[in-house]
Amino acid sequence: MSRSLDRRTLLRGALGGAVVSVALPPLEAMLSSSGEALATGEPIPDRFLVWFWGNGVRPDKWVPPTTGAGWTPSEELAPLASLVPYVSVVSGCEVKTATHPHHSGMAGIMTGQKYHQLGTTRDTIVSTFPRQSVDQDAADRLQGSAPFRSLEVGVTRFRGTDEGSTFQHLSHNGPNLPNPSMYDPAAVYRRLFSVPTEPQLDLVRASVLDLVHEEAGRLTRRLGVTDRQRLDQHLTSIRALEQRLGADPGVCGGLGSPPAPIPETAGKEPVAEKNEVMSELVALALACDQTRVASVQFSTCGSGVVFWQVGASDGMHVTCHTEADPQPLVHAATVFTMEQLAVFLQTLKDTPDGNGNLLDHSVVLCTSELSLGALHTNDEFPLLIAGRGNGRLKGGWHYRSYWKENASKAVLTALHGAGVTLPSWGVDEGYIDKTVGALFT
Amino acid sequence: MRPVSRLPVLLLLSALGACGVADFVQQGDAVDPGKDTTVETDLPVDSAAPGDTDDTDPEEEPLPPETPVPARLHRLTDPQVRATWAAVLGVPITASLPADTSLHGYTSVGGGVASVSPVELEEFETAAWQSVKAALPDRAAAEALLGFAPPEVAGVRLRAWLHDLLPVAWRRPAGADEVDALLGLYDEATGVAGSLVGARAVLAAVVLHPSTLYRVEVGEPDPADPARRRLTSRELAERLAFLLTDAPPDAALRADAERDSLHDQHVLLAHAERLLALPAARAAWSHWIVEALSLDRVALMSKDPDVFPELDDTLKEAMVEEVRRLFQQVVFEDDAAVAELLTREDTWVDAGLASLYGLPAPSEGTAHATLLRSEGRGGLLGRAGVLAVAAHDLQTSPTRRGRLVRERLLCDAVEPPPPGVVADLDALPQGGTLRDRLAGHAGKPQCASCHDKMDPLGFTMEHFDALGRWRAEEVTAVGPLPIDATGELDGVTLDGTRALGVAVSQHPDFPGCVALQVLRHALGAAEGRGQLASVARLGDDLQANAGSLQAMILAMVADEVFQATTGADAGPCDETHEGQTRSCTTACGEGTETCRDGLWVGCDAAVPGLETCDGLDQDCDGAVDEQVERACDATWGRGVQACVEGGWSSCEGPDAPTEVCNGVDDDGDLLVDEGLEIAHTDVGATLLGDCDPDLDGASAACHAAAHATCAATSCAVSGLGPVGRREALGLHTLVCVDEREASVVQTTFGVLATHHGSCTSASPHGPGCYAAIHRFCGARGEVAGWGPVAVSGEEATVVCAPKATTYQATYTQLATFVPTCDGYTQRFGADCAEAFDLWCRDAGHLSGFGPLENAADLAYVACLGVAP
Repeated sequence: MSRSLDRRTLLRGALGGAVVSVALPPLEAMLSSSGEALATGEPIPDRFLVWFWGNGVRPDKWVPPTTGAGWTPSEELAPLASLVPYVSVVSGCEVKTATHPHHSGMAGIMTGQKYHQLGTTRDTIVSTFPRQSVDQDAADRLQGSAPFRSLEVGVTRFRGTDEGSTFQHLSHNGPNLPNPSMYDPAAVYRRLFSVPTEPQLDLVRASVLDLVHEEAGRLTRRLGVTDRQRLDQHLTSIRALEQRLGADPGVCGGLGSPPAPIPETAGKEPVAEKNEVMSELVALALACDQTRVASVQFSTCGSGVVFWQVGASDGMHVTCHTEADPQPLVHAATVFTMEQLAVFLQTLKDTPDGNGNLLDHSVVLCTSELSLGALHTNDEFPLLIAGRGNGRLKGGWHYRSYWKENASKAVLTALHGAGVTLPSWGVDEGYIDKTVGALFT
Repeated sequence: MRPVSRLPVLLLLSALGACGVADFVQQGDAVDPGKDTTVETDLPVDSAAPGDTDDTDPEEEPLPPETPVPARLHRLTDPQVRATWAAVLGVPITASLPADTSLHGYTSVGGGVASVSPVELEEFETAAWQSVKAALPDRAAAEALLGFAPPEVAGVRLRAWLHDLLPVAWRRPAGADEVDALLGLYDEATGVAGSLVGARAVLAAVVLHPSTLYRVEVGEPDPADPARRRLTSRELAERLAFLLTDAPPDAALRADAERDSLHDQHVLLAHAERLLALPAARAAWSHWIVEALSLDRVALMSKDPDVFPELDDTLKEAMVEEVRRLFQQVVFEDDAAVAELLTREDTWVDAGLASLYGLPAPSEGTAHATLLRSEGRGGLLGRAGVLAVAAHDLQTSPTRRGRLVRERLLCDAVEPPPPGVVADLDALPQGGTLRDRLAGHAGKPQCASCHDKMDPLGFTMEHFDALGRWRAEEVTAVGPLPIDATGELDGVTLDGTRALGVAVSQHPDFPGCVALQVLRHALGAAEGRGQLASVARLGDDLQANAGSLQAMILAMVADEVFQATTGADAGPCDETHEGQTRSCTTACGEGTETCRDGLWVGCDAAVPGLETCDGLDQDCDGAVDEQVERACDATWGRGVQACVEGGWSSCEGPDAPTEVCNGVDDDGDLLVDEGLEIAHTDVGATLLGDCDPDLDGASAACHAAAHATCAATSCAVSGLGPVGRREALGLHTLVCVDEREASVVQTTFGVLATHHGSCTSASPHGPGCYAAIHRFCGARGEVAGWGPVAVSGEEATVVCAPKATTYQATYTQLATFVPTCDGYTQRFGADCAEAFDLWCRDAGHLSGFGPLENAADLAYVACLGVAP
């Protein structure tokens, strides 16, 4: 079977001028001759992704008007129209752990559990996730031989908060143990694809880390439980880097060059451009099997990103609160956000992978931290499950819950779609042991 | 000692409700309704300062008992890491480091919970190697340091060098084994890449060492009272040096720490005074005021670029630098009352900030100037950084500005609004100033209760736009309108920002609030109730020392709150036990857990996991690989296999075929299709056509699919369901019924509607039609029925069940079979279909359906097949 495709050309073609210049190797370098497995003999891996945006949607314009197969796009999901066969909608569900704006929805949808409040000494709450987030649940099962357990990137810039990691970070390994998103495309590129110029130095670096690891291990014995968990995370981080040093840089390592910086003109954040680059980097990371789990934080929960592209002159969060019904600006911003999601999904779909494309072999949970921003509501939660999960998911289905089912059901469905068949997910009010059967093939 | 006024950040507020949800997240706020309670008076501002009425405050509560702050690990903040690495390496550290996390306002508090994530570890590692390369750029530099000579000499030199270096980096002496490990690393790295790299490797390991990156607090029993714990001398030295200078203890402080003499207050205070006089202390505490006022967010803020084109990074930095310089002048140069920050009109401006303030540009760099009296800025509250960071991107925010003053300067907490509050400014009356519009949104007491604390303060700052530029008029939808900058604090009218600054500086809650902000930062932890008495004491110290912040800092260092801590113990968990640990168990073993916020949490014993087929007992129940199953293909179809001691058993499928409706003798008893009057039949999901049981199992599509699927066989005339799903196999179960048990009847909705009015062609399924069909079949003498199983215009096909038995069941009972069929979550539909089937089978029938009728908890059920 001839597979001398130039993947770089494919990417450029799909995006009308790629901004990342990673020269990808021909497919046969990565795949077995049948195209149904990696060259290492492993089957085409499952990938689990999260694509998150802050401040919710306008549910009245977001929920598709038809249910079942081949759903008709709503106004706000219109940007995904060409991707309907790959995207299922789960509507009418509710995050059951809701008690505080933003915090409960964010922690609830990412962990299936109520946020963990830090201290009681301040006006507005400060919180972190009570447990690891869903992407890390997936990473427990999916990492396999991939060098990076997970990849976290952010698109619109973070604007500062001291309300705890719930407000700033999507991916967590536990309470106060976030995996911060990377916002610099060049740094993401270097992390994933650069190769050592001095291999001998990598051996030395590994020795240094080994020593530090041992010393940190000694220290843990003196500490209390919480501090020990913090140091354990530090140890895990050391080991993760140490294990990559000296390892095969992978088929994509050392090719191409980092993406050029994207200038910000006149204080107007180049959101679409950044999204395009980050989308490509994530796709490349997956295609090169550098990781099998990734999260994209398009905007943080309660984000104040200014969508000047649709005429906004103030932050998204405040606009959600102050714009009069029916909130044309909020609506336009949501449509814009879904356009960025469409770019991400289309990039995955345009990236060949095995005998299909990345979207065939991935599951992307797309969600926010609330539904209607103006009211901080947690019912009618926006939930999309994109990708076909290596054939487990059929795509193109709108499952509508008529009795405010637990939003965790969609999360567990996404996990099962990616082959992460946990028997249940979530805790207490967020607990679920059922999936949306209709989404499966 | 004077009792403290309102407990600082008394945190125990009982706001009845609020608005302006957005004020409580970082990037925006709702400018929300607030009642304009300004009282017009002619009182001069100075007489408006609230009197000290605390002694007679009827609501005063006794302060809770004092408890120490728990010992914890502190990850050093960015400036602290840089200073420590610089002290070790002898070069300034310019590499990029992982971003600090701000919590409760301070990166020092963030450092008290932070770990190092994988990405951050990579950043630290990259920065470490960059820095050691800068320190040892070439062999000559390394030789100058170590004197490379014969290896054995190098080893001796290295050991001596580390002996001096490690206490600087780690703030403690190094153990011999630790030095040996580093020497081993040197030998190993030298062997691989030469002695220069070897030396760099040792330095990299030193700066990346956890003892470098974390400040470890464990504490020791207090010899005077062994029931109490205190920080050790070393821990005190670290806390003191990093707090006062953002740098590790110097040689003199380390020497006293090693002599364990820092528990002598005179020794400790002498060091504190010495450190406070260093230039590093000014830099460190300038950062405190930046964080205390949220000015760390100036760099992150955005403004509408079309309206505020002058805002760039240079101007942002100038806004913050101005505040730092003002702070250094008042607190360090003059050692004046800290309250003067709120009244002094000195400024330090570069060209950009001078332009914003209407001042002449300095000839170069940054120069001292005095603010224009005509703009009425006064002290800190009139500075561009403060005004801009607490405004929106385009318009001002009296709410947000007022909230900053309330919370950061008076420590008077404002409750966040509850979910579901709309703060719709566009719905307010248009055409007036923002102030008019806010006032016009009155009539919501639940909003006013909190907004009255914020908006009237912010109104005094309305002469400054969202960037902090002075303006005489506000541009509104009806053109420019004059600004009314009167506001009010505690019932006293104020006019303008300068007056607000004076009032806050004289407010009885201000000293305690300064104390709270300092203490939170100093302890690297959000204060608990057990520290409120300390806060009150320090606030009094501030007043007693003419408002000198330096004096208060020294008083804090000498205070028990700075030196005491708590350690491990067992027992109940209330605020006096915060941070303590005790043993705990899970199914998998023993561990310890910690008292946090009244709960024992974080048990670190191994957590039971998901049992997998590998010969191990992941769920710690004493059984290995129990109940681990997977689907498989057996001879006669899909089956299940179980895990036995790490391996899979043979596939348990349908071992002998049972009779199914196919015109063949499947089970070999010489009878064809016998006993299939009522047959549970598994079908693949694809056979169900448009029926999506998850979507709505009671839909017309599902009735039609069950009917059509069963009727297509030779053994049934109709069917119902799906009544269940075998998830593992991806199959749905229908109940097919033959002509002995079912009559397929054609009728019309017109007829059905005579039995129950809500059964129409527009609404062809659901309880209305269930009841209509039940009554329709009953009228035919056929007990019960289901459907409609086919619909064509006004025509309806229903199925009557002549041999059915009906019962009065309850949703309470049904929920015991399928929990969601509880009459609340679901009254009919896929889950209830399964529940009715199970209910009837439990009663000895073969299957069943419902509800025929339902009301409250009651559900009538029809069962098929003869009961025993």
